Amino acid sequence: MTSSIYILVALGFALVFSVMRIMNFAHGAIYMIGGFVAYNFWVPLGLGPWVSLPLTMLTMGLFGLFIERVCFRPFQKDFEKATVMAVGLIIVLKTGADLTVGPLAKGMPPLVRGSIMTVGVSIPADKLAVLLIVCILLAVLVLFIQKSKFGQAMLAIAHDADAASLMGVNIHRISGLVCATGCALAGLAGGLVGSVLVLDVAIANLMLVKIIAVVILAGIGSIGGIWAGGLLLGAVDALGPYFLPNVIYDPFALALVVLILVIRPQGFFGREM
Amino acid sequence: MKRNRVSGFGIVGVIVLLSLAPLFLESYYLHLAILVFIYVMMTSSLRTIYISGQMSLGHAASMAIGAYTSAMLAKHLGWPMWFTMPLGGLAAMIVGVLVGLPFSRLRAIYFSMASLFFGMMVTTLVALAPEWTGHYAGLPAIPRLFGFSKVPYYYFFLALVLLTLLILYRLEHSRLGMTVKSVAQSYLAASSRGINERGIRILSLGIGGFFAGIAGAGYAHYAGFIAPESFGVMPSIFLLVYLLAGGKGSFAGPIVGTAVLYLIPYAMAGFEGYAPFFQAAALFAVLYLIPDGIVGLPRQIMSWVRRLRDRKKAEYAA
Repeated sequence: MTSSIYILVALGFALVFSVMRIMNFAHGAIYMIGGFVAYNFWVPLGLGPWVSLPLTMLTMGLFGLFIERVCFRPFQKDFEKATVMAVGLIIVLKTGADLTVGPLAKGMPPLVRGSIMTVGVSIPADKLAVLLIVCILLAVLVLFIQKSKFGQAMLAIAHDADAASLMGVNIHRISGLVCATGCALAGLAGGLVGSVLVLDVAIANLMLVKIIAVVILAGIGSIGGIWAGGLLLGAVDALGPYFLPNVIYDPFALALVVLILVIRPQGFFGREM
Repeated sequence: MKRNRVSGFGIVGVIVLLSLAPLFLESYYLHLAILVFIYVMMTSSLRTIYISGQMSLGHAASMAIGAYTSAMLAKHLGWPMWFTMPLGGLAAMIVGVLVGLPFSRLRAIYFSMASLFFGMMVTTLVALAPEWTGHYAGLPAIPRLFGFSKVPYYYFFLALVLLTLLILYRLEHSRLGMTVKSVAQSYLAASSRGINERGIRILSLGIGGFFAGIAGAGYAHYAGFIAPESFGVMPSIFLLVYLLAGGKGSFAGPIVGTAVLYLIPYAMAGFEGYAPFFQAAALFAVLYLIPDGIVGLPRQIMSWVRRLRDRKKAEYAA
């Protein structure tokens, strides 16, 4: 299940990068905000998960449109400024979360969805449900990208933005859509994770690190590699602590990613930026 | 020439004022000033790395290395602080160089990512030897430099930051500094002129790391307590924010940026939670409106005024 969440969020990040050539460092924060938004729909407003999650996706999608228009579009050509912009976004989002949710009030676990299925004794039903939902969603997404006109446009822009615009593709609109999708996915992931684990302001940076790790493993610019990267990272994340004492695992895992970054920045599937 | 003399007097004047400050200011304000001095050292050393073309998102880690090294040596081994502090700086410098060896191969975005990871990694290292490092909860009861009063600390850090700034300034405005900046502009051009551009970058990481380590060690022996969270990702990010908002193009940029932005939370008694919004707002203002940062504000206003005036003239003419 962890892998699927990583894939979900990393995919959004990678899509935004492919199409807009911007590293949205704030993506981890968006994931966290999505989680809190989902929580707010779920618990205080009392809407069930089946309503809150799509609502969260919608909200975060709109937010994604806003970000693209206001924050990223002016700086598309200037990588450094875009990075700075993302950093600023992180601060704003994290502070917003700190203020509204409260730094002390950590982990608000929404209801565990024990109502779905009770499969085997060893498999918790809610995690299975999350896995299922994510898989279905990813499958839909992949089909969408490959079959629809929007999807084709996305791929075209990712490949060669100028040529795409010469062919009549409205880059701005597609960028907006991609950013919205990325944010929606991240938001959904946040909401889903909130139902299985706890929500906390700290998860933003943790997730950011994981996403970047996945993207590095997969290779910057490669969408297909995200699957492998996410699966790999999820596996490592789950199994690692068994082999290495927790204390060593944290710095070790980070060091490993750095190592890969240094040795092979293109990752396993990527192309040179 | 005239400008140099004026700004020279200005700086001397500021130094004089700062030296006399303890006569007017109470202990709390001295405390704030000390913190600002320390963070100015941090931001300026970040700039040292920045001008070699590397945007580091893990600078606070160097501060952590210096702080923990000096603190642990002084507390657990009882070594004198005047010895452990430079050691802290040295440790941070060595780590900076060691890290720089592989990292300097990485271009822009990759370097930033790697430095982010590195910064995170350092904060997790405290868990490796909890009896020494105090684990995530922090390391308490670190020997302090002086006694109760803030005044000797104030002068100590004033001298330290002035010394740091002097050294960094001379470095930047020397032949070496030009070389570093040229590497940032185009490493290809630089290396075709025979400049060892990787070596320059590693050097920058080392120097930047050194002063960050000293700042960290100083902080440890002032506060008496250090915890990993003060040196994590967000503090590193804020350092970068201070640098960029103040103005990355000029030496005074980080100084001004830190002095202004760092104090914002302290100026908002009761509302400190909202402070990062203002700091981020300053950053956005710099991004959208004043690319040169706060330091470039006068010039930017002048250019706006001029543009308005030109537009008026054009209207009258037409």
